[in-house]
Amino acid sequence: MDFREADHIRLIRDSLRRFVAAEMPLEAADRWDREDVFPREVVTKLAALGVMGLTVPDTYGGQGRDIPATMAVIEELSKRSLAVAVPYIMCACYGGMNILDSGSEEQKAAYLPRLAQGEMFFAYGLTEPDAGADLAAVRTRAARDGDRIVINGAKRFCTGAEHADFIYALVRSGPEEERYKNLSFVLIPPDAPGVSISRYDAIGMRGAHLNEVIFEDVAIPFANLVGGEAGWNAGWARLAGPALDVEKLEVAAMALGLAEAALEDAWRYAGEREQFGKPISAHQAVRHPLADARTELHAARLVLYHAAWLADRGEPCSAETSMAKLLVCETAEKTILACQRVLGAYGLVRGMPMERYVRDILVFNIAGGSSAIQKNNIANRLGLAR
Amino acid sequence: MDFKEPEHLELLRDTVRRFAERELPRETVRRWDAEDRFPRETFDKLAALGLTGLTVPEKYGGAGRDILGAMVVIEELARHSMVMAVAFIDCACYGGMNIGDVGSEAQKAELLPRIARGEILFAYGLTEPDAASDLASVTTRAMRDGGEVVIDGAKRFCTAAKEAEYIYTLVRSGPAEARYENLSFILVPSDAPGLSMTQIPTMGLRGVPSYDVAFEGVRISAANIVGGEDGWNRGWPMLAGPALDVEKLEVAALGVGAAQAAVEDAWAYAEERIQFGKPIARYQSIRHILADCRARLHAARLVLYQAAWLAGEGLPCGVESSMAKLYATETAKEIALAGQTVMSAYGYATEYDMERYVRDALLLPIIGGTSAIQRNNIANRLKLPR
Repeated sequence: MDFREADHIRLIRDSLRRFVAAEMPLEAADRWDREDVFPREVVTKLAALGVMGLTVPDTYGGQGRDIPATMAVIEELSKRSLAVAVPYIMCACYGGMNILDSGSEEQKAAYLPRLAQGEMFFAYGLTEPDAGADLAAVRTRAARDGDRIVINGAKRFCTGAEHADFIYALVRSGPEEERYKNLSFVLIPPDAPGVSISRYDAIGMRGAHLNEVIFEDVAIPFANLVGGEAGWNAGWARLAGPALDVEKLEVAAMALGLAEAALEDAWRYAGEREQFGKPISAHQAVRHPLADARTELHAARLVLYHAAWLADRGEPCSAETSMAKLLVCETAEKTILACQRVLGAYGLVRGMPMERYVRDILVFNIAGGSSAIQKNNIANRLGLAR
Repeated sequence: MDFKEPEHLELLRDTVRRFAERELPRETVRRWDAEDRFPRETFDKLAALGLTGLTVPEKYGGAGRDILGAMVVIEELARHSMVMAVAFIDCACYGGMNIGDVGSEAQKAELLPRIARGEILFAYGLTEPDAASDLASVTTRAMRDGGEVVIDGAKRFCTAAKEAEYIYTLVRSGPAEARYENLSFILVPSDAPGLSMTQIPTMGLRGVPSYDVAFEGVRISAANIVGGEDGWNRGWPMLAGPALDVEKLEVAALGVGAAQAAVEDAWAYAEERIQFGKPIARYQSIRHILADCRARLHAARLVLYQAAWLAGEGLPCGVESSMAKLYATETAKEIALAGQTVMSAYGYATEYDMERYVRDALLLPIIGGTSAIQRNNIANRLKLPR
């Protein structure tokens, strides 16, 4: 046992912190949020640090897969802005993790080096108007037509689709009755003829954009079937694989970063703000919630990095990753609301990041498998009778 | 970070589990609670396993100090019997940690081998009618009289005072104004003339009775001043030293063990109990409570082990041990109450163990520094302005 963070991860954090200070000042993060801007140029600069390759083996031009380091990057970026953390995940995780785990050899050779360079972004195309938690109920159809696949249907809450190179889309590739056995993943370029994309206006996670995507007779080459020929009708196993376990951790890492930022702000504010002749942090009504927040984030961080350590070693971690997603995201939400209270009215106004943290955190107990779904997973994986 | 447990911890767990199977059946543990009787004969069997030597260096006949190992033993014992876990703490921790850290060479040579053999128990004599969280205000007086120390005063909530061989007593050894500079620790044999004890009936931790202890002209050899002659008026640094950090962890370990027991019983009950034609574990209102409990227990255990690891490495852990105490004991209380909710009326009936878990768990956020005191510690150590 050794609970110290590895030296190379501390170095990555240091370099990320310098990057955030230089390229992601608070005013910029505030503007990306207010104007709902996808900061592509900042993401390009981020890629130059080499961190996109943390999910990609060195044989494909990456740094070698390192899940704890990937989580540290997400956490550090999320402390400042989800508008950059989300594109990082779209490249390193949605792209890198999935192509490495599920791609064909040709796809790995074609895409992993570009992903490791930060040149490609993937958007998830999972949710549909009538399929959210129950993903095996998707209806978007894929039909084979010679060496093409033709897609018809609609995807909803498809984060970053308009900025992505591919929508990593879950489609029904056979009769619906077979439920789990007729699902496939395909790579759909958002600019393919027949794809139309519109945008939701959302209260949080702004900048990355929540899209609605409609597919009308969208023809893609058969080469875009994830996993090649073997991937046809084999989508379910790919969905429920290691990439999904790590996806839960990505969401947890974003939530942790946000909550840490909120706590840092609240801690500093409480030490500076004077009322009744002393800093409000001297009043236990403020002091104790801050001590609680520190404690709970400490626990959340251990749970996250424990699960990341398991995932990195390739050990089974489905229950632990669900626990991490549940506990970290719920803790982060509770912590941020407590921090908002410490700031009083300043926690409500534009111009201070606290109100953004509050809006942003609300997404995380919903996205990436809601808290209720994680509780189902935990009970199921631990074998509770049903 | 490396979360892999050293192998010997699993061996320790196995040892305690086999002991628990033999010596701690449910009916026995329930009887100790009902009769509020301390089972010294069972503790002697535990002592025969050599586990109390986990806090004692080899040169004094122990196994070499192993904080993490000691916490694992406490956790596993508490899972079956809070009484046995506390008895272990009274010997290995109150005795082994304190004498090992602050005893004189003569005291170490005499007492540590006996502690390692599990022959002697120590009760804490800290709290008084008017001094609990504010321990530096104790008024029990100790006066030097030749080669003796004469003690007058009163200690309250002195757990196991009668059952222990020694009361590890904090006394005022000079003028009260000097506050931190006139405190000493004295080893008071529990059968010393002039001591009188009155049991304080309590709702939980029954089997390890708590006492009001009156000291009237109690004469003890000056050789019983903890730390020898150098220990006179040096009590405060002894109180606030590493043993205190570990003491917080002992209570946290009680919490993790108690919570484990509660969630296991609730889990088993939910699988067996049929309502509306199916096990109640299948209803999400029950299922999700259980999943939540498992996640929080997992977090509490990580927080405990991280702090125990720091303590074992000799690294600073004032903050982390307070966080562990706060988090694990509050979690234990929540989990016991949740377990009671799952078992409903059976969680309230004395023929099941759940109501005992609840009674015991309610104590944990109070003893060893309340949750409020831990929050103070955390905020103070992290330098939140006050």
